[in-house]
Amino acid sequence: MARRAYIPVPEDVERSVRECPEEYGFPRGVSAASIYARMIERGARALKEERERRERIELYRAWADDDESHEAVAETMRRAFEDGVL
Amino acid sequence: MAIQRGVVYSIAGASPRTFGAVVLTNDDWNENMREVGVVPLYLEEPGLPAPAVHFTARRGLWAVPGRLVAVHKEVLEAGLMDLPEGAMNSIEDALRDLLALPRLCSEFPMAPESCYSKSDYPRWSEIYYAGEPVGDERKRYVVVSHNLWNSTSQGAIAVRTTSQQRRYGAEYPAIQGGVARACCAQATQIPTRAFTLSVYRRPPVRSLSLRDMSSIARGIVQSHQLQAALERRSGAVAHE
Repeated sequence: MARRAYIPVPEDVERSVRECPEEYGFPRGVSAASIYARMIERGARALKEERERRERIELYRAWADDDESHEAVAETMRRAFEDGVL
Repeated sequence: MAIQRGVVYSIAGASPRTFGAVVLTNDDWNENMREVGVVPLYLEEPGLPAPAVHFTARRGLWAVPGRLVAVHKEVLEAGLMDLPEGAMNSIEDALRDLLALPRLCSEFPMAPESCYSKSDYPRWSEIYYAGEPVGDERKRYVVVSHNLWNSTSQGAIAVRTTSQQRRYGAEYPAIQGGVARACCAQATQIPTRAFTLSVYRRPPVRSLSLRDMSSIARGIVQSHQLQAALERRSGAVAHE
């Protein structure tokens, strides 16, 4: 269930939604409210995914120079070649 | 060379019956790290217990998801092709089931089904030393593949654990109450003979809790991008 919210909409977005809804994949005549609702839903998901991705990359970079990992993988990889796994 | 998930690469120094390997680790990982997770593709049917995925892409190929291997990026040579979506899905689904991800990633995690075998083999959730010493220490691995596979395939998929206190997160979950981390993205197949199975030569902490195993399973889902495979399983269960 959706709740109504009163939020400021940037002028250029408001104009674009009113004049060119097809730019957002909506046919003419669709209410601005339903376009904003979709924008908020998609935007919320995108912001969350963006934050999660940023955190994920920070985590990877914290381990990227881990020589222990590199050496351990070298050892398992060497065995995989010897055993014909690769 | 940018390494991409879902692309098949030839492998420098591979055996003549190996066609190449398909990359499974996610592209953020592939871009930032020095190692990637791959599943080898063979030109002949491997003599291993199921699951082996057979498909045709230019030629008949076999993939064995239980042979997931972590490799240095340098050994990947030319990109040979994008793996067809159907084959990729089959590999992901087989790996999902080998690692018991649906049970472990559920709201109320459960261990994989038990398996009776007289033989000695590396067991799910148990920690072992494996391989030759690296520097002056032997590496510890926790077994993450289910015991039916471990007892029949002469190997097991395992994740290295480390006492390094670097940052933790999904792909490097804090385990053992926070004193160690699991390197989920480096999940790799290790032959049974490379594990030190003797109870007298095991690490002080011999197994992980179900909670830790669930954290590792979730880490592998992230690192090897298996969310869609989990969703396919949920969808299939809902239809049953």
